[in-house]
Amino acid sequence: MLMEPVIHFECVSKRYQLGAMPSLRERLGTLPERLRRRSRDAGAEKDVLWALREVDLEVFPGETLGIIGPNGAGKTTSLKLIAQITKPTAGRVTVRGRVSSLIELGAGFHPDLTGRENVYLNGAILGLRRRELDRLFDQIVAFAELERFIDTPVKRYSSGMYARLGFAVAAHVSPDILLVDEVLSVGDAAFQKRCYEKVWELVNHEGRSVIMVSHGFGYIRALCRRVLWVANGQVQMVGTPDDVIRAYESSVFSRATGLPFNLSQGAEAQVQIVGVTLLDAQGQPAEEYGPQDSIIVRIAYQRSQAVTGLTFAVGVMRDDTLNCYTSYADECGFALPADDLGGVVEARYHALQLMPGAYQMYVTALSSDEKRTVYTYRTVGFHVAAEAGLDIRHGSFYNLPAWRLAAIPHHEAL
Amino acid sequence: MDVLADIKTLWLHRELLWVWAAREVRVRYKQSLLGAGWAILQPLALTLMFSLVFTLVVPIPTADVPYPIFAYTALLPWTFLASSISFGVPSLVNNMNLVTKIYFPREVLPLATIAAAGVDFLVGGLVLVGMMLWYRVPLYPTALLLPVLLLIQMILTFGVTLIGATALVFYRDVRFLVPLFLQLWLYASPVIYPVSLIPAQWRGLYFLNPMAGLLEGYRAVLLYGHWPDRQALATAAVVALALAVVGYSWFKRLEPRFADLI
Repeated sequence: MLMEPVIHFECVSKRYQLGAMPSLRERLGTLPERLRRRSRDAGAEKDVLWALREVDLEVFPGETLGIIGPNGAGKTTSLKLIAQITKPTAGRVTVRGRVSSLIELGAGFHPDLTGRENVYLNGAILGLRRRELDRLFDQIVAFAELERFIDTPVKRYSSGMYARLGFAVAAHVSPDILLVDEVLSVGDAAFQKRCYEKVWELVNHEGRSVIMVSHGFGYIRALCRRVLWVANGQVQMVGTPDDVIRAYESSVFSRATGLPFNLSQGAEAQVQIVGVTLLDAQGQPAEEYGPQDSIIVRIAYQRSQAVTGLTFAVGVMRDDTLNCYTSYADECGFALPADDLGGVVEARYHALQLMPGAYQMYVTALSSDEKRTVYTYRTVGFHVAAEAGLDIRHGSFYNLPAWRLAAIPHHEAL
Repeated sequence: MDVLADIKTLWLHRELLWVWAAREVRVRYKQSLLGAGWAILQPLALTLMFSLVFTLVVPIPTADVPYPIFAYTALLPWTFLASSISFGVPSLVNNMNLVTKIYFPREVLPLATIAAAGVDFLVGGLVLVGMMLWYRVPLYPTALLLPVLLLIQMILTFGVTLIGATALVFYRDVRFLVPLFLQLWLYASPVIYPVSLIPAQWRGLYFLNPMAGLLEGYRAVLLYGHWPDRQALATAAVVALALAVVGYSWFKRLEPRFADLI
């Protein structure tokens, strides 16, 4: 059976004008010149950003597509084009069906109105009729777990409660196409899990199409059948999640760490990282850590006889590809036994010192000589959760100083 | 014409229009002490002030109608127009997080502010009824024409608000232009004075201002029991309709660029 795509991009380009809009005075000042040239765009090419360039894309009913790429690659622009928030500069976008976007949760909430009033307001923005909302209201509130606070103005909500209510409304709209942006990185881990379960249900039980933008590759692997990698507004690669994520990661890691990740042909046969496990201070496998927790990276590997001078590089990358730290085992004073054909090694960080968020632990097997030839690598995702009672929002790393009152008169200290 | 398709899309989103208008009303009154009292206070305070000035200091002829009700009859619809425009013009820019995140016909935002100003107008209408009882102004049969006058005014409001809202997306200077523009328009309209003060040879030009024909019309049908000046009213209707068509098509033509510019 030939199916019509629900989303169809034909050679779509999107250009943004950079810099501030000229004021009326400036526009009037340049009016004679512009009239003479009779062209509004000429000569302004340097202030222009092509967010997308000649992108072709088809998404079919019941399909989930993941979009990955660095910040500013054009991921959100693609979603905005699908959502009809913006129009392409060139090319054509065809969308069939009702679109609900989770580009920003609770975008239409008004802080002075209660949760109940905002559910109706947000529902109406997303295109629901009042009768439908009456029917869905209890379900929405139950999903958000906000029964007790539903008649409180949302300005008294925590950011987590806000996001929960926003997601609950958007997910109950039963759209034909659901757009999921980075939004789900807010809220606690349990709520995130429930959100993804809901998305999974929409795809697998109700046959909706989902377009998902995320840095959390675990969810993209679990939910998407096809992944699109965009960079600089162009499609780099389309394929299965495993292939595309692997290619993307090696490109990102080599840029961020300076390690050569372009694996030579056959290199993987020589050294294999059989498994990487992250363990907490008690030696138990864990995915979630506190900002100050210690973490152990357990690496199981195999190598062929021919490989001599093997070492590992271990490091942590934040989900926005900030390289937090990278180090070589041999530079840390650790040498692998020269003659075994495999084994298990552990690298222990005494304290992560990371802000709450999503991170990747990456492990690279490479030669200990100056060339640092990379044989293979593995990545494992983990989360850093906020510490109870501490709400620090600034900075990249988590490092709390110890304070004391110094018994020195202030004029002497200067 | 695309306009029919645009109107159809808008109709599909009518529910949002009502919900958003209700939001505007609720938000405006929720945290203010006087609540709905503000709807009355503004035209009432102006009426009081103008009444003092134009009865005691510089008397203005109002042909047997007490000055306070003469002024209020025009100030009430004028306030409807002015607050629609001053809340409606920035409605897109003020809700930029919505405009850049979700698609819906953007005219819903300015239209909802007009609807919300309409609620104030109705509340203020109660005061007018009170004044008519107090001053013993009878209800003339000409009052039947009131819905026609209101319809023309709303078409006018729609057009001017959309033009202003579109312009504000492109030029932030418009925000500062609106109060000045409204003030000049107030004095160019027969709000505090009767049209009879305008020299006859200037009236043709004067009535090109659609509010002139409309405000004079409100007074004629409510206070004097006359039918409104037919030519003035026709001019007002034509100008209002032209502004609405120009405003709506301009707005819809540039709508796809709003999210990129805001």
